[in-house]
Amino acid sequence: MFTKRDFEKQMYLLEKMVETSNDIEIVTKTFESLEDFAKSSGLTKETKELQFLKCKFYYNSYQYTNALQVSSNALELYIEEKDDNKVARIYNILGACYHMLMLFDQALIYYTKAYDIVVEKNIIDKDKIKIEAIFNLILCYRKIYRSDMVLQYINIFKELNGENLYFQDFFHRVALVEANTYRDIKNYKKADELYKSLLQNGVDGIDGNTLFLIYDNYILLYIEQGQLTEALRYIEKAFQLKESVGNDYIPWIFLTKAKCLMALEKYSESLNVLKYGLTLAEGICTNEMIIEFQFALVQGNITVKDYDQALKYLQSVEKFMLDKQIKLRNNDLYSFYAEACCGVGEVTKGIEYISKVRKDYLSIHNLG
Amino acid sequence: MKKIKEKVITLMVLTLVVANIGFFKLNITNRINEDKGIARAIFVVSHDPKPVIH
Repeated sequence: MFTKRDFEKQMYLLEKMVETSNDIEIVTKTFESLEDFAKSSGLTKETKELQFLKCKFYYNSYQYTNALQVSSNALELYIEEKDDNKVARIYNILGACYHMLMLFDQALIYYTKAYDIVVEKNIIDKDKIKIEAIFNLILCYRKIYRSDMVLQYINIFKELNGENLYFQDFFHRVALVEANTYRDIKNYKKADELYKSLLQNGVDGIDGNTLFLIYDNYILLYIEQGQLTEALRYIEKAFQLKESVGNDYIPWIFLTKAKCLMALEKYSESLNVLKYGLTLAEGICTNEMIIEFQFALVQGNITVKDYDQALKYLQSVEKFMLDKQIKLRNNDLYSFYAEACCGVGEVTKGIEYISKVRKDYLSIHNLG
Repeated sequence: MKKIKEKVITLMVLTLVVANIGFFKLNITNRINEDKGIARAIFVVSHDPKPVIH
């Protein structure tokens, strides 16, 4: 006989499992049985709590579309109840899901809603949600190349209460993103200073994922400046850290290594690294990463003039983007298609693709 | 004295002209850079941490 006490025990275990989500099947079954029990016993509060947990579970297990659906339902319930704490947290989850699906405009809307609630209302977990919303806004503005907004939110973050433990937890991550931003706007000196100070001052206090990303991004700075020997030295260091890093981040170092090998004209080695990186990226189902590896493989194959292979990867990335309704990278797709088509001698087709990346100025259909 | 005055004025005019040309050039360079930015910077691939939820 399953009792309320058993239910509570299972809920506690489920909360732990949701954070790691290693075995999706077991977690899904546990959800089903607990939901059934909660509904049949008329436990409305617990039913809502299960919905909220499910949002987190879907997000942590890369099921972003499902997470959006469950979050929208849960949002309605918590708005009705005027539970501002949960509403703000769900807005943040919605933002993060749109973010991972590369729908950045929607992501910004939801992060901002979460931030606004925290600023306007006096809720529990205020500091925590505020830091999360600001951090996610910083990441999202990076994606749409709004470095001005990135730096503005970094300043807002720095003005928060520095003694807060959660703040300390985010401090290195924000510093890393700040360094990345300076690198991307070509302020290499400032970026170099920030990476160095992160590595010199705080290696002991930095979590494994962040430390790994610091090396990975520092390597990109060296590559951008053509310092390939230094880059390779840090690649080795980053690879040594691999064991203590989450699956979400590991593929990036393969892409970085492949870039470096490509620059050193070690083409075949670079392509092998990319192929392996792609299988890792596919394992964690991150759209951005999968597309990035596929395009890198396309470019790599074009570089070695293996146009047929490049076309195969192009078809695969095109299908992937169509399935996921991602249009942000269409110009890259058409541009590579044009190059590969010309490479196999289909110049007319290549020109057709070139015309797709620009507006038709003499079209009679869109006179506006 | 008059010659010195004339020389100073000529120098000032020249400085202004050079400064304006510089400013004009800088403006054009910025515009070109901005245009390039708009053309390619719709989306940035970054090796940043993942968004955080709790």
